[in-house]
Amino acid sequence: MATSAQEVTELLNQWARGNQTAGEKVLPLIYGELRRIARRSMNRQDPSHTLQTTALVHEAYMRLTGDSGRHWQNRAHFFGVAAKAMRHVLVDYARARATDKRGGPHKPLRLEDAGVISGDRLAEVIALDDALTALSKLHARQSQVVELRFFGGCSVEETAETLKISPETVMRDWRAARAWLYRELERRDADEHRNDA
Amino acid sequence: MPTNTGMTPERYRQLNELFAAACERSGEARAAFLDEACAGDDALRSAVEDLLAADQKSRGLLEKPLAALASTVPGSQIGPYRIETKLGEGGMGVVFRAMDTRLNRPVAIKFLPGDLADAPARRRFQREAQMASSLNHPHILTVYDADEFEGRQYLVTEFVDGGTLRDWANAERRTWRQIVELLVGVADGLATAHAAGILHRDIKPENILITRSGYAKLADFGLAKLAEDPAPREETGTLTEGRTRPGMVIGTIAYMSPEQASGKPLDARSDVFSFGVMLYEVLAGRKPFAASTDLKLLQTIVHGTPQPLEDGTPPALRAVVEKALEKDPADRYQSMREMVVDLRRLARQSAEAPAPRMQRQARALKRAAAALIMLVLVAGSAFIYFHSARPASPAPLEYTALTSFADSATSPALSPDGRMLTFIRGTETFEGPGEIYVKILPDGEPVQLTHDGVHKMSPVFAPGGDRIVYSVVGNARDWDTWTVPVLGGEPSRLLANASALTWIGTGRGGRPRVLFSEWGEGTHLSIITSTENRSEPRTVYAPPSPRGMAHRSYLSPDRKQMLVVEMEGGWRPCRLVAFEGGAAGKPVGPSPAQCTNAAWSPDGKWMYLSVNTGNGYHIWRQKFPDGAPEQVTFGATEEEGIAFAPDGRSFVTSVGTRVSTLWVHDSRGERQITSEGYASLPSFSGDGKKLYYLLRSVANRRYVSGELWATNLETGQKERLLSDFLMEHYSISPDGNRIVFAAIDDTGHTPVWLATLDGRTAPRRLSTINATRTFFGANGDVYFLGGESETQTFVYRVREDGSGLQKAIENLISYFYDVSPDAKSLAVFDGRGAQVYSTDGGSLINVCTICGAAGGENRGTTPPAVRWSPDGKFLYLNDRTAAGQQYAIPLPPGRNLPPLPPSGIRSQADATALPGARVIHEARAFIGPNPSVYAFPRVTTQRNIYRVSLP
Repeated sequence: MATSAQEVTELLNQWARGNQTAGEKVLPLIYGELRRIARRSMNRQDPSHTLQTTALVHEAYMRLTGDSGRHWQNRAHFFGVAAKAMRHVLVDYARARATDKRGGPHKPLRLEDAGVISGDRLAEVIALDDALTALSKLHARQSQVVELRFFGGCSVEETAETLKISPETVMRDWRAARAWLYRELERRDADEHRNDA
Repeated sequence: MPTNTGMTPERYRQLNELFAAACERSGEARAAFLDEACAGDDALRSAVEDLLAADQKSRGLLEKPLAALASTVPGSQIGPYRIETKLGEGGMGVVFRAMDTRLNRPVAIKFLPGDLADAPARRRFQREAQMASSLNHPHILTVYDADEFEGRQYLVTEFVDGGTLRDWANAERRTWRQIVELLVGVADGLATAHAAGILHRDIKPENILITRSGYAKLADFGLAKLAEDPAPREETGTLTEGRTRPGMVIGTIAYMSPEQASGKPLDARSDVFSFGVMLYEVLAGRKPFAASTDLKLLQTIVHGTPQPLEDGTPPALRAVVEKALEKDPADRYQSMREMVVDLRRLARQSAEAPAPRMQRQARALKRAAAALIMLVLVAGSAFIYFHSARPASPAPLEYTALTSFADSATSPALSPDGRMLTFIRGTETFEGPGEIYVKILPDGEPVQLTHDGVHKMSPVFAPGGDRIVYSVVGNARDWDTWTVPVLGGEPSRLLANASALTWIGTGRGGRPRVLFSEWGEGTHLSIITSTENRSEPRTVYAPPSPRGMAHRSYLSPDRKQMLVVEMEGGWRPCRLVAFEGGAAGKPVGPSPAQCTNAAWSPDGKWMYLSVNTGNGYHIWRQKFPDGAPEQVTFGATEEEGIAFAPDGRSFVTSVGTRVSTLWVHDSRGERQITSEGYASLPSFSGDGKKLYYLLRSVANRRYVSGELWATNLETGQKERLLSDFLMEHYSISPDGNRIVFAAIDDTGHTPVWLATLDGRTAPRRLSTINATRTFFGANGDVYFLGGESETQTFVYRVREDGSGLQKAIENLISYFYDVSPDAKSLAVFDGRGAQVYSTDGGSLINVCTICGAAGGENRGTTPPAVRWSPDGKFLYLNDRTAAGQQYAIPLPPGRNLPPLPPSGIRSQADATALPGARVIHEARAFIGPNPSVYAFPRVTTQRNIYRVSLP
């Protein structure tokens, strides 16, 4: 049973409001669409097609909902969802890539090959996701700032607009979150290697 | 670390407040503040200080969003360099081809891998840049620049367009003489580097780049070191801010000298050895030292003796290689200079004539260039006579249409007895939505066999002629083989993960065998043969690169050879591979080129190929095994797909012509204006009653040029104007009476002319500069984009009487979009994005980075990215990121630009946020007097199946 464009829009809206189940339903669709787009760009005869992450998300969003963004009440709504989607897709993807070393006969297309993310960033994405989840338990807004800026590619102004805070607050949050994440990533890395020894 | 364990949200907030406040103070003030605020709570204080320390170190962390990393992709710009294509990726970084927009020359940019931000790697990179740039030698790759972008260091070098030594060696069978002549230059360059005290340490075929004209350049001094430096320890993995990195392989083992393999100190003689290994490999076609594991390989290098070179190599050359490969450095050439002397001497001696292969190639190309084409479409009948005047007897090719759909038919194949034809009715020549049809030849009605709309490709008949087998292309790698009976019935899946399947006779057990493409890891697609249910599989050809995809395969009639169609980043030349033995094979046909289909003549003597060398797809052929490629079909049509009739006297192919019909959209709806030929550049008269356009009878790939026509939109009457001219571009003055245009003359030049539409005054040529865009300014001025070469164009201004020619904008401009009605603003594109230049004041304002229209714009079927309505009330923008979309933006009175965001419009949201902005869902709309009336071309390539009879 195919999901109609309307249902997808509704799922995305629900997910933006915090409904995890809706997110679980719509995520595979987004991922599928991203892969389709990436595959298309791989097979294109002209290899010089631009494939930026945010444009990718936008295109995937449009194709899924048949909506060119006109119905978003404001851009903020879209950015929030897109950043979350991008984070989930990339992290899911990075985790899947990390666990399969050999791979079976039917492996999905590699996003690295389509230029969406470079292969050496995948491990970082996983570690970051864990650290970010830990941060969100301490300071939800700081975690959102990082999610919007890092996964969503939002500028400081766009982040401020999305979260309805001032750009100065965004910068303060960003700086604090960054310092904390740095320590957290370091600590996790040290833990990992202690276990290896 | 106290900071992160046992933390609660409340404590975190407290920590943050202190952190933020501490950040605002420094030095003593900070310490004093912390003393007071943390009063006694030592744990808190050390947590804040820890965070402050982390703040310092974390500057690089997350500094750039992921999207920016991916933004080093084609289309983006780094300083003056515009990224074009990715050339490759290796342990030491990614390499792109780019254009230096200041000097207008192609360059190669190599980026240090993103997270190799640690100091030792940076130093190494800088060292490479310094060393390479200090060497000035024709056979050493020139380094132009080294800098940093968004935290990543990059190196800009000259761009070499011919590939590596490995590609060169594989492209054709090379004689020893050619190899020596090519490599002696590199040897000389290496000798120069040694003289400057620099060792390369990574000599291998991948680091020798060959220009298209056959000039070799030594590149990648990434591991080079100054001979006096102590062995740097930083090559092994280092800890970067708490995270380990895998150790890097130093050099490539196969080319290492024995002392390198043993970890002993190196000098210039180590490079001599590596050079010898490379020379041996190119001469012999195999490496001198080979083993199954890295460790064994190292041992073989230190102790093993390579096999002597074949007799084809003269004894003097064999001696040079052997001397270079001596185990003990004391027995080798003591310097590259000595080796160069020996190589030059042996190249001089010998009466051998230059390789005959080269000459034959040149002749074949000349033949192709000298051919003349005449395409005569006899109305009503299905014959096209194709006349090509060649030095040899002019042999007309007879084309017979087998299908005549208004949409398209592609991918033809014939049954074994040649009496039935199958094809896909659909528009795509690779894979796309379409249905399988079958037709009994010569006159049967085509019958549709599938009705599911899924993506398909490569239909063929099963040996019995009773079934048709085709590939269904699904998501990711679900490319399966399906079958449908010729007489109709339900399609069913035959084999999963098998595409472009063909039958190739019976195996040893008497069971039928098939040949197909199968997905492996990632995007690797290999050619496999097995029985019909996949037992006894054998990999016949696996592309050497993990991203290589061998999409189609064609076995020769004697079953000894196979032609492979492959793609890596884009279509590649077809490859000829031995069916047994697993060798890599060699490319065939013209090169560089894109080859998408192949076929063998039934007698096995000829290889036929569908190839695009830049002018569209045509059929070429090459005699097996040693012929030179020759072009078979020519002209403005395209031919893709080849299937031979069993008697070898004809083949079927899908012939395509590009058609652009013009339509108008207004309050009455949509109606068609032209129905044949190729129409482009429509524009409305001021009152909206007339539509002007250019019309050409067959689409020429490079030029838009055509005849100027006008149609009265109310009466439907059409007339041709200024019939002495063929135009590349035109603009009509606001008063509707004058026209300025770039006319193409017999020599291919496109000067600017001015004329009146009523024909009362004689047309006047305003300038001899080749122009591609012309517009009226104000007060008797004309603006145009022109220049001596396609890549060096400027915006010029000239008066309508032809005087006062001068540049209007100093910088190089790539596209000239429009002139505002008050002539105060010029919309252009200069490599950074769409800009508007104001003629009084001379400032350039960045308007839009998402605006543009690739491809279509140059052929006149998509409007310019930025333009004004004739009354100056609207600005129209074409969005290249959202397919099929334009924006109509109302302008404040007296202004030529709407209120723009600070760095211009960078997203669709930016555009739609402008007051009154309206989206028009037709990318090709050429807007008339108001946004509700527009003209748009519908461009299609119409393809049908034809039989081509060979003379």
